[in-house]
Amino acid sequence: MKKVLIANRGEIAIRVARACRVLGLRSVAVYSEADAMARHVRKADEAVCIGPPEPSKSYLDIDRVMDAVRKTGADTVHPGYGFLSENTDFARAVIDAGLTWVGPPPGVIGPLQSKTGAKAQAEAIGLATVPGAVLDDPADEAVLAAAASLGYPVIVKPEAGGGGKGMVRVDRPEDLLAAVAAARRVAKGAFKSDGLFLERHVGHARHIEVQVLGDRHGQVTHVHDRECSVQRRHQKIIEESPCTAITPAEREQICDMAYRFASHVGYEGAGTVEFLWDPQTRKACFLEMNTRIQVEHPVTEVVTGMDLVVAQLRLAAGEPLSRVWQPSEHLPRGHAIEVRLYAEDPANGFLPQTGKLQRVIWPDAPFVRVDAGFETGDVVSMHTDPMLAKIIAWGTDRNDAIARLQGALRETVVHGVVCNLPILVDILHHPDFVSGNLHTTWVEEVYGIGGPALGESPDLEALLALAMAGPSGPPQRVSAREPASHPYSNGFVDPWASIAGVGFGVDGSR
Amino acid sequence: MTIWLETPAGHRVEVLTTPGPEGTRTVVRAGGGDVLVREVMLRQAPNGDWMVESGGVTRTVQVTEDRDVIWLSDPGATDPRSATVVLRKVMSRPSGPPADRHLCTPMTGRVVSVAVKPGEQVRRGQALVVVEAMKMEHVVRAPWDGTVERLACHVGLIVETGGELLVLDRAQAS
Repeated sequence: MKKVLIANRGEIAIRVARACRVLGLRSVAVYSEADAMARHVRKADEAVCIGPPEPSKSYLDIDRVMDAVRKTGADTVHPGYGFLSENTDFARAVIDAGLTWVGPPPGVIGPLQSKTGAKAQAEAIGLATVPGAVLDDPADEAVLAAAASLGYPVIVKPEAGGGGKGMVRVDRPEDLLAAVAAARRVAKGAFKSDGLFLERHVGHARHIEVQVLGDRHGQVTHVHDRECSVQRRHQKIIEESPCTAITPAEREQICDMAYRFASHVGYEGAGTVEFLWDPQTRKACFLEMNTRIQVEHPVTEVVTGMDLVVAQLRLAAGEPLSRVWQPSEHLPRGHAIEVRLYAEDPANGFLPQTGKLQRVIWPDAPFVRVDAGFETGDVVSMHTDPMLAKIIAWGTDRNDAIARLQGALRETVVHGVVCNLPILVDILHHPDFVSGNLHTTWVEEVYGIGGPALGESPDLEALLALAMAGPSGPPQRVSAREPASHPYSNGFVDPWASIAGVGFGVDGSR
Repeated sequence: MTIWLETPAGHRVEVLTTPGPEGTRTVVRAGGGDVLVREVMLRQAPNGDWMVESGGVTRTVQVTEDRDVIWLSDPGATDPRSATVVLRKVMSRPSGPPADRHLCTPMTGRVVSVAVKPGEQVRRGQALVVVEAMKMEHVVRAPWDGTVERLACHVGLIVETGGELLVLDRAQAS
């Protein structure tokens, strides 16, 4: 293993390139024409353009990515998350070309792609699952009967889903058929398969997941738990480790369930077993297994001191688990919380936002880590995921981590594109979050589906203090301009007309 | 010079700036320009931060001008949720280097009236074009005495922020 091609973009591509540096490996970035100047391209040792802005013709095009592998002579492919990371055809193409695939073999990925198939495997080894039904009979009566047998509310889920796409909660029978039809359309478009299944909605459930690692020699371990109950539109926005809702005995039990499942499927590489935790029954139900590195892997890294991406590469190279993972050295310590900063408008249904990031300042504080895909001047395009960065804080306990994250977000500046920073800040100060009283629909219940009404009554005094500051720009350009008297300024030099050559008025200076 | 900004809550403030050797003296008024909110000195740090001084006390903020909005971040804001606010430039009087003869619209909207013709002589302050958006009218006035050289707009035209409206020659005498 000498040269790793990273078949991804954004922060995870940068994260993998950094792991390559740690191991003394060369890294190769791939990019679409929209990303020619992107941060992940600049952070890799080499970069290859693989096509037009549309992901289907670039990041998702197996032939194009394999061309880049041949062009650069890479001997290893890391797929990151999303895109082709759980695509068995891609994994097979990499392996058939005689290269190292960083992930489990296609024979492990394939069966876990089907969510109902994965649940069946979990049930086979005695794990509890959320009661559900496959919608293999499309007849209206069959769909209604399946939901009735589970009991409302139900969740409609795509069989080959991911990222919450196509998931809909249905509270009443009269809404079911329309929801199923809509979910089929979304699933067909997003996953090329319109297979759906139903699951009983578990009220006020928490999302708990367990990181696992497996080597190429049959050894598997769990690397402790995470909680990801703060979600909007079934997508996680805040994650932490450890979960504080469960007792040590319950934690051990959930981690053991994950270990047994990973062993059962012969898992290799880094993966995550996800559970739904019912606070009423205090039982964990198996949900699914993700066969890739997760977005929220840093919280596990921060509490264990374990570099999971380095571990992925070493395990892919064939190192035994015992050399990569030492339970006594990687004991979890303290608490870590991650927030995901998205270019989306929380006050407007969390709609994705695009544009140029005119000014970005990431926090630089003790015990705070920033995994960012963007910096000042970068463009958020309509073609790809709007996640700008993950900001992670560690503390000796949960309150400590919350306080550090609150402080870090205060000095986080994103200008030019609306992002979800205000709602993240609000959540971190919310009594429910601070007390850990969370569940997967908490964001929607507290803030509404359409998002919070933040900034309706901002601190006017603070606002006006800000309003007094002028636009920025190279100060030397003020003097570079002719300090001409202005017709409407009574002889005042107009700094705002001069600075950066941009005026506020009808001056035609642009 | 004076600009007008609208806060996210819909408050309008008038900001009057006067540059000097100690920095830019800045007066902010609210309530239609009648209520003095605060008077401060502004200085820009080499890294682009703005230092806001009032009564010997300085605060530091980050400011970015992006087309018709101003992004402001104040890490020390009382309410951390409004540490970053977006202020909209709602209207302003003409400004800019006198050498430029192109008059542009400060906001996106529809041209609702054009009061001049090419070749017409106008006086400083005379209304030339009215742009309307969101029930708000903005009158573009002549920043100097001169002659309308060319019209770049007509009634009903949708113009985007910064779009050219007309070219106004400067009278030689001024």
